[in-house]
Amino acid sequence: MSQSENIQKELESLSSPLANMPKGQPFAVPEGYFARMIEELTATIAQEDELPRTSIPFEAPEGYLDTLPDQLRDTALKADKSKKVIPLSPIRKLSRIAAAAILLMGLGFGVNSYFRAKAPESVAARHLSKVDKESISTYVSHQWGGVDLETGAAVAESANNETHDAIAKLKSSEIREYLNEHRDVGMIEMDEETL
Amino acid sequence: MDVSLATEDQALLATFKTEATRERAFTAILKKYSERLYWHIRRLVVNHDDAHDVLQNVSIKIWKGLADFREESNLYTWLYRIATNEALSFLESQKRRAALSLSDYEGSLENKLVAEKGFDARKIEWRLQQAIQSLPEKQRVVFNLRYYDEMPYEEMSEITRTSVGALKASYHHAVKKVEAFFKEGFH
Repeated sequence: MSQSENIQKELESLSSPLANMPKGQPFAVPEGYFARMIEELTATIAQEDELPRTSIPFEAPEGYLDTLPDQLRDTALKADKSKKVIPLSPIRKLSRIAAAAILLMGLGFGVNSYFRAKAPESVAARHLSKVDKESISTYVSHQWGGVDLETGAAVAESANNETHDAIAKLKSSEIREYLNEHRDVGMIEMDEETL
Repeated sequence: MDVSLATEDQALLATFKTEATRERAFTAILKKYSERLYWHIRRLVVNHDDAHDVLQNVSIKIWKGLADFREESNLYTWLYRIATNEALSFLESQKRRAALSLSDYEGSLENKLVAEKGFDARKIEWRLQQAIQSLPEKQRVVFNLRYYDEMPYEEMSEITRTSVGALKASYHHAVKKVEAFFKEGFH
């Protein structure tokens, strides 16, 4: 059985309508195309073969390419051997260190000024200094129920002193006991020496 | 493939190996196969000018590669393999170009078919071409090789580097899809 018959049988076994269809080629080809085709294709090959010879119009000096690999190798080796480190003179070294130190100092001063200016305490102090004493006194008496500024300051001062005195009177064993009791909230047990 | 044809190809290859007769052998190979290769490519890329461009590239590849051809396969399956790969590469490059210009690639193949000289959607051979164009690329290759080139599965396997079983399944799927296309079209 020929291949063509095989394929026909296969289509019939698939009950395909293709089995009964004509296999005609609907595409059109320009007139005489196949007659010219071989000539055109071989011409393409000839052109392709010529390309490497004609596409580079430059010429290298005679014998240049023969010696090129050796030349390139020698240049590379020479460059590798002649790598030198040039030391700096003491004056240049010193001037570099001085410049770096000035730069660091300037940077440190700048950072310090910036954070000082930004600190909330200094901002509050600056604003409070602009408020007159009488206004503060009125505010304090209003907020603390009739206590004037001097009295309030005296009370705060005495409370502060009392706290200091009380802590000073505490025995180290009492402090250790307190700290050990509050270990759970992140406190570290301390020995007597540390205290 | 016919035994006498295979022997003829071997003789051509032997002639090609001799420097003095190389061009003559190459011309003989083109004379023997270029028309078949043209139609194989044309069915895939549709347009004549595109098919001609692809065929030129194919002939260059044949010329450059023939010296290294080791005769492990038939000459003609080797030629078909080059033609198939070139046609698919061409379609791939068209797809990329269409993606860059945001145009519809599948639609462009359909448009090419409709723009063909003498296109008539009422004629069965054009309807069949429309059905074939609706198949996925690989299935289209398989369908064309089997239906138009009447190629045995073993040779198709050499061309597509796909197993005979997979090719049979692919061809049967393609036949069913073509049928479905016809049924939808005539409702």
